[in-house]
This record gives sequence, structure tokens and C-alpha cells, in this order.
Amino acid sequence: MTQTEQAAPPVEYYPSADCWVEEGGKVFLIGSRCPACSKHAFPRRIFCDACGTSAGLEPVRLSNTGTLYTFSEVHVAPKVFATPYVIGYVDLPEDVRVLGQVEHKAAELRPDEPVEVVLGVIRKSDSGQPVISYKFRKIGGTRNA
Amino acid sequence: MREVRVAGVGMIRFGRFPERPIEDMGREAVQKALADAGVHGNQIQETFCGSGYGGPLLGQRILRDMGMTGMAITNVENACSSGTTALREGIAAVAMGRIDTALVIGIDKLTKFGGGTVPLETTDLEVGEGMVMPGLYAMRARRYMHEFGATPKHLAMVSVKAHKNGARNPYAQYQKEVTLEEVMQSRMIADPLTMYMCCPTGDGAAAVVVTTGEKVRQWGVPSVRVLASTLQSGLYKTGFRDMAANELSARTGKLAYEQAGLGPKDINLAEVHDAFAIAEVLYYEALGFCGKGEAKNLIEHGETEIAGRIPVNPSGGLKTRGHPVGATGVAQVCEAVWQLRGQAGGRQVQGAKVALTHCTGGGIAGLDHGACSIHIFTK
Repeated sequence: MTQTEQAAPPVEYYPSADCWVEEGGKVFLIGSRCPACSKHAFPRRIFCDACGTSAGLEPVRLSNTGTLYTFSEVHVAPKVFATPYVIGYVDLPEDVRVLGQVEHKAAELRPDEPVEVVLGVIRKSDSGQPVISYKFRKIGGTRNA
Repeated sequence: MREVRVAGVGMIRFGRFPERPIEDMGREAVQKALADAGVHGNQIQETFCGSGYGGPLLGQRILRDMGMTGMAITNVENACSSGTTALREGIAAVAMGRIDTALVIGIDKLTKFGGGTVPLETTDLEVGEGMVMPGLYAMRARRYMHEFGATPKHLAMVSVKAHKNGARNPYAQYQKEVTLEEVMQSRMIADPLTMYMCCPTGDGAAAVVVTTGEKVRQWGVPSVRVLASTLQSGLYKTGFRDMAANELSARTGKLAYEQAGLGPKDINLAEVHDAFAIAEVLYYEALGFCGKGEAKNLIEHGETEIAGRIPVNPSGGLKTRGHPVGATGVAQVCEAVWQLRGQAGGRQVQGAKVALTHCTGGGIAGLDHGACSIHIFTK
């Protein structure tokens, strides 16, 4: 092994890279669906909190678009985050709400706007590596980061 | 259940005391509460100590040097509701007849973290994505403004009121009035919340003595009666949640009103958990002081001022008293007791007969909050 191969990976994924898949230039979050009551959740669950089912919850690909329920531009945060950044709650059609960073300034956003799932850097890790996670972007919008 | 009364209260002035040991702050509050109740430490049969960040055995660490050891000491953590969660245990112990007299302490020292927002659990998914407490409340504010046409000015007016009241409270961390412009133009923390719309962190301690009706008559001290003592946790939701309302506080409030046999109209003053200006707005509605979306009318008409229809946070609230997490709920009870005894000085609500205290918080993904605790007291 060379020195280069032994080095730490250049990026980290949060919460983990198996929380999403990329296909055809789109990013889909991977949640779970309860076989008994059809409730969806993200990230994947082992137990269904709605009906108590604890077996057979299968991974499922969630819609890659949703609605921005609310958001805020955060100016004071732990130092691994580059401030200001925008966080928002996005409702996916499967009745799954996801908190993520939004790649726009607050002034460019309105509640109830349609957004799509993208990937991007959300912060640094404790060891200084860029951390990549799902983020949201206005549909048809361009990156503003 | 036996009649339970608060026989004595005491607290230190909240503030930033990085050099002062937390145990020392606790002892001052306990000493004051015991003196207020006119009891000696050896009359306390159990102690319940609530703290968010005080660490192990805090009750023992406080009471050791006062010679108050040997009894059952229960240390309680429930984030912002730690103090009132401890209070509920103390009240229950007396009500059930296990003991006659309990000491309850609420205490925290946040200067040990330096500055910035209160640290959250890093195992929480949303914290890793960038959630901070001001951001959560800011998102509630955004949605509330969107649905009901409220503006940042309404939020600023809540902060102006808090400072007006806090300026008359000798126990408050900040005893200074501020103008609407100062609030609106202060540093942005999490849009639309500016610095003056967020409560400060700091250090503090408060204590109360709870006992039976029989004991207070024996001791001959002024006391207030506990009419309701409640605690609930947030409901877990993985999908839609109405963030322009607060289900947890509304549900806990309903339970408290049922216990007391009273309704929102019977409350003469309320101390609510205004960690951020939008929180107070949401709690006006959750506690039934106005209908959904009507809080801005309450604010515009000054109805929650000390001389208004339903005074809220005559103490100045978390905004000016400061918010040493575990101490807050017990400090609210101190204020309620002083108000009901007519001892609140320049911030006295005239003729107050029934007071409500509301303490909630704790950031945890999927829940409104970790916990909410509401108490109702009467003369």
C-alpha cells in the first residue's frame, strides 16, 4: 500500500452513504415502509412507531421532491458549520418530514415552495474533513453556496 | 390526595458567575427557601434536585456542607423541565403521604460551557445536519408568521415587554429596558430571531419547600396551595407536524386545567417558558389565553402586560431573568409565590389569586420538545 492509499478518505458521509441513492442525476433518500400499516419513515427504521410492527420493514426509495414547510438562516452554530447557513423542514409526499440544509439564502425562499433533494457539503467533521449529506434546492434553482 | 402547599421559596439573582461553584449557588437558594418557610434543615424529609447539566449527585454536593445528609435525595434531569420535574416528584411524595415536607432545588451553571447556544446531543440526527435551538424556534416563527400574518415586530414587542418587567425584578440577569428598535436591530441569531429575541444563558439556583396544609398552619407561615402538578413528554412524529402551534404545551395545559378544575380565564398571571420570543407567542395560544392565530392581537393591545387582562411573565421571563436550564422552572414558581403573596414589588400583578407556571423544552428530533411541566397555584 502506498502512503496515499492509507490516508483517510477525503470526505465523510452523514448520517451514512446508504441513506440515499443517486440515479439519473437525481438523489433519492432511502427510508422504510411498514408492511402492516404502510407508514413511511426516514431514516430507515426497525420498528414502526405507528403500529408497533417490528419485522419486515423494508428499505424504500422516497420521492426526490417535496415541499419546504419552514426554514431559518442560522448565524450562530457550533464551529464545524460555516455560518450563515439555511436549515429547513421538507415534507415528502410519503408524509415524511426531513430536516436538511437548503442551498439558498433565506431571502430567496418562501414556505410551501417545492424543493428537490441534492447532495452537498453540510459541515466539517471533527477531524476537519468535509461532511456530505442530503440537502435541498428549489426545483429548477441553481446552487447558491 | 392530601393538600400540598408551598411554604417557602428562595433564589439567587441569576447571572454569569464563572468563578462561583455551583454547589455554593445551590446552598444560597436552599438557605433562603428554608428561612422563608421558617424551617430548619432537619425538618426536610426528602430532597429533589433538578438540573440539566449539573452532573452526578448534585443534590448531595449542595446539601453535604449544610449537614442535610442521610435523607432520600433524588437527582433529576429533564432538560429545561428538570426543576419542575423535580418539583412534581416532591409534590407527589407529600400528596401521597410518604413524607410531610420536601425540599426542591432547580439549578444549573451554563457558564461552564463558555458562550454560544446550549450544547445538544450529537447523536441526534438533526443536530448533525445543523439544528440549533434558536434555529428550531426560528423555523416555528417563520411558519407562524406565514400562516397568521404576524411580523418580526410582534416578536420584538414581546421582548420589549419582557425587559420592561425584568427591569423591576431584582433577581433578573438583565434589569434594563430596551426599545423596539434595539430589539429589531440587534445581531441576527437565527432569522427572524435577533439576539434580543433569544434568552441568555447563565447560572442560577432556586429552591422551594413543599409541605402539607396541616404543617403550614402549625408553622404559621404564609403559603400557596398547589392546584395542579403535571408533566408530559412530546409526541413522536416522523411526518407532518403543525409548527405554528405547540401540541405538547396545549396537551399539558389541558391536563393542568382539569386537575385544578379551572380554565384559562381563571388564571391571573402566567410564567411561561419564553426561551425565544416566538415561544411566548405560541404559548399564549397553547394555554388558551387567546385563540389560534390571535396572539398578535394580545401583543398589540398590551393584554399580557402586568396591568393587562392576562399578565404573562411579570418576572421578565427567561428573556431577562436568564435561563440556567434546570433552575428556570423553580424560579418561575418563586415568582408565582411572590405574586400570590403580594410581595412582587414594582412588578406586582394587583389582586393575583391564581398563577400558572409553564416550563418546557429539550431539543430532540421528532418531538415538539422533550418535556413540558405545568403547575397551577392559588392563595
